[in-house]
Amino acid sequence: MSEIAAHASKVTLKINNRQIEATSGQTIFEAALANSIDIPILCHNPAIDPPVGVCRICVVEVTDGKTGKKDRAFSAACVRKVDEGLIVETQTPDVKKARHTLVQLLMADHPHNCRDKAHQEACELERLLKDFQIAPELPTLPHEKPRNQDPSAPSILVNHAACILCDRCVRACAEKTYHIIARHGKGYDAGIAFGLGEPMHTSHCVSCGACVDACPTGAITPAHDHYGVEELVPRRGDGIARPDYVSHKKNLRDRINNGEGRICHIKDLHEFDIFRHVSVKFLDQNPGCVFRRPLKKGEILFREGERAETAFYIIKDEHDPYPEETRVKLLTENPIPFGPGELVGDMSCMNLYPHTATAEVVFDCEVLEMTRNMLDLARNSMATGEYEKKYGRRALEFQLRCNTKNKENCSGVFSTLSPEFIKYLEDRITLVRCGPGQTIVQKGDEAKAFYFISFGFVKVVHPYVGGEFVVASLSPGSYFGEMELLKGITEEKKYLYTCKTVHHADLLRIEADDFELMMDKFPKIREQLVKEAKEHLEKNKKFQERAQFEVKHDPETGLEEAYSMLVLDLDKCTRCDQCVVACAETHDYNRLVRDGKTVDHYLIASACRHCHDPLCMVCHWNAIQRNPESLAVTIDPEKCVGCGQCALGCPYGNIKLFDKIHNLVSFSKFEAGINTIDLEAKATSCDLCPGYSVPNCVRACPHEAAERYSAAAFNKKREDEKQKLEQRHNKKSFWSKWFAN
Amino acid sequence: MQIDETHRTWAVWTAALLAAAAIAFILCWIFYRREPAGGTIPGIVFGFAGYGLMAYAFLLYARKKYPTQSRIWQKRSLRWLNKGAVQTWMRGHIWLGALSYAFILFHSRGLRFGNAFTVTWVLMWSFTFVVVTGLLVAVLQTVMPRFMTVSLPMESIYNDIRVVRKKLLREANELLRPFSEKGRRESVPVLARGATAVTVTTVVSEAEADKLWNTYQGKIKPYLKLRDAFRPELSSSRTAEDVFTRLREGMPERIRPVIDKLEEICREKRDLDRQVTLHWVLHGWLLVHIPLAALVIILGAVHAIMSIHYLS
Repeated sequence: MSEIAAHASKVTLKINNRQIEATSGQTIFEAALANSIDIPILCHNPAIDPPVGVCRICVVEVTDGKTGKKDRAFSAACVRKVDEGLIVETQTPDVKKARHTLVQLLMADHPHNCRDKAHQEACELERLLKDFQIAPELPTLPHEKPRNQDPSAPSILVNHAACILCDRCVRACAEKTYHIIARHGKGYDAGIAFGLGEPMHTSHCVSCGACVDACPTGAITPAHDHYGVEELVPRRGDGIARPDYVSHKKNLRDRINNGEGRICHIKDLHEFDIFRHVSVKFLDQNPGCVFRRPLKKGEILFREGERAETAFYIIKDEHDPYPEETRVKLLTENPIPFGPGELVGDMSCMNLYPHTATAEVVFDCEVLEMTRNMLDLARNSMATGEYEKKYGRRALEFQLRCNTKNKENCSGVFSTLSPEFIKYLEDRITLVRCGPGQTIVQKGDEAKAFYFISFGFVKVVHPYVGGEFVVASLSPGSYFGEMELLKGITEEKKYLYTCKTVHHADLLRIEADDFELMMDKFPKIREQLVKEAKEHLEKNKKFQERAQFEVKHDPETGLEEAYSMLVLDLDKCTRCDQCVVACAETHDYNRLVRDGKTVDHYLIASACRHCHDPLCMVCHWNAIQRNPESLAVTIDPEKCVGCGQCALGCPYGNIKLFDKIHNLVSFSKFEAGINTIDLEAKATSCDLCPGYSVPNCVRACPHEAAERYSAAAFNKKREDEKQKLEQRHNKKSFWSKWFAN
Repeated sequence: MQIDETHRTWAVWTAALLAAAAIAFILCWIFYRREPAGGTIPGIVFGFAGYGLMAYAFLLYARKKYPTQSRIWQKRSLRWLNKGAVQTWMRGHIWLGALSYAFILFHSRGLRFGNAFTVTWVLMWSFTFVVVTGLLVAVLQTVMPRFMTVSLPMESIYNDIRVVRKKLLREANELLRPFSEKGRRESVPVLARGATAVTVTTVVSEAEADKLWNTYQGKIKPYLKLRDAFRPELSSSRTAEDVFTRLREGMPERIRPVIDKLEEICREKRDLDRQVTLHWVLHGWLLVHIPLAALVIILGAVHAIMSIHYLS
């Protein structure tokens, strides 16, 4: 429904010579619908707001009743608001002709028999073709470059050729607050894109199915029509939705033949607590995404470093004689137990992160292995349920007792809390679930709470005019907000930084009063936190001083994210590769490739740009952080376990992995899901050569061709150069002046 | 290194030193009433100063070879060598290297290189050649990078060129596989960008397929295989265009994308060949410059020792 003013007045209008009454603010379509007058629609769906009027199928002829003047052009009924005395005609020959032409044009660029026979009935465009009695033998547009299909997602098939750019999926996705789907491209290349135009499976799409529901054609459809239910069963640890369907099928068959488990059908799913509240419609759209597996004691569910693409729900049985018994253990320093009715590996799966620990089965049980889309459905449906409370309590206990591998972040500060106080907190904490890029606290806002990060990553952001500079990335186990709440640290109780989530994150919120009570009761904890806070403040001061930028968006280069990029002046560079030699000599491994994007006569070499918002800074082992001195994004080889998450995150491919025998690990290999932790690989990237006044790549260049620039400095240099050239061009030489005289 | 206005200070100081040396030479000439010979005190001073500058210029090689805190620089005696930016060393190399030649000329009373095939003669000719190649490299380094940037829009990393060439050959082979006898027999579909997947026999006649296949086997493949191609037909863009125009004649429209792609591959190969040539023009001189410089340093030392020995 469109937005209607609270005290809307009534208006009278005529539709097809019928006097009707409508509320001001309503659209013509809504008024017609309320009076059972049929206006065909395509891009509009009353269930999806707002109407956009892009397809123009709902065109109507509008005449102003007062002046008797017809509108210059037909109006789209889905967006045109009603007005007093309007005369609307929905079925004149001209209107019909316009609609017919529009349908014909859309069909000319649309595959006939939209996807398959079964779906033909569901395609609203083809239905219109039938309703308008237009001959199906239509001329088609010549397709020099056919639009492709995206079969990467396990449950949804995207056929870009069938897309009519109605934006229904975009609006449906936005309505679900995911904002994953958007328009991209121009002209014939225009289409919808997931994330940054990546395959659907690798984007942050959770496959909720809202777009499938919304799509009027066969552009976004459930994949099971095409691949068959059985082929959708997930493969553990090896990805579930890659285009290599041959190996996928083989793997699936092997798993079923080996008796690993069986597909869990939709009707069975509703028997489990976890799926009880999930809509049947959504479950219908995602068949075969849950695999029921019996597990034996000693079996490894997943291993540390494996890319998590499925999560596990330990089945709770009413007749279980040992309902409280631990079924699965996460093998960290202090093993974390999971019992019936709990999810294991869920946050890693949600964010497609590698698992941070190995999970071992300690008691025979059964699990539901589910894909990311099903996990999301389950999590959303359980958001206020018992699971949420249980999850929050466990997370709190885990955080406070510091059962984390990440000793540095979770330094055991809260390990001295008494069990009574933890119990007290358990009833007081709030579990905050955040989506990607969500702001948790804003710099300058009043500090009201203290947060623990249970899962996911939080970036600490220093905002500047026109952008944001990420000063740190907080991994699970870290906390923030304590500096502002501790007495005597800051003058005002205001947040010093903005904190945002990177991907999906779960946080535990402790209110300011409870935090103060904790500090009063446990002075040792307070002492420790004050000490840490002072260190943080010192760092903060350095960041405040250094992270001052004036960056303008430059669509030509798109380099505004770079804090320090290696720029080679190709007019000076003799291609001697001294920079590469120097890099290899300094770090044992070469961290730069003399290739990359070219801007004017400058080459932006493939070496870390130390971005303002580094997408690579998502490390469970806290190995990748920003250096407060140089502001460089550096990888600590001691902490790095070689999972490759940072390398996958870097959009410029500037992070490389080397295995234990110093061989470069092929990017395609670890992208395909091999466990690089087994290779004992280490991630490497430029660290701006700490200990040297100038990075060695720059220092070693004999031709003064290599230089490190921030985006702003680089743009300024280019502008200065252009100005100089213009001046030189405008300045008349001695001889030209002499001849002119 | 590009020689531009930033070299002004170095140029001025070099000119000043040269002028000072010239004045000293003239004063000595007046004082001795003849040109100061290499064995006189001023001659020896000029000789040592020149040799010192030569040795300094030669050290750039070591400085460049180990540009950072390598193990070699951990030695106390060599640590000083790692001081200063390489750019400064390079400027010193150019200007002081040139000045060393002037000093040596003062030492040898002009262009008197001694009797043929003596140590001094070999030394002086080698040194002259080192200086000339050095100046040539300096000029090339000023001009060539810009030329390469403009003329090689699809420049590759030099060390990767071999791999890229192999890839191009593989790509061409794959593209033309359907036209081979085996490909035709097995009805391998033609795959080209923009072309619909069809089998050769449905699109072209046997004679046309033969024409394409034979041209590929006879001209294009050998060209793509060659490491340094000097075959006039395909190594020049103009003659290559003729080859492909002839090849396109009479060919059906649906097979054109294959020929276009083949032409693109040849163009890329030609660019790579040109890059190799330009790279050699730019860096090949160093293969003469550096060994000769080493010879000059050694012969210079021999000349000094022998001269001092006979002088005493």
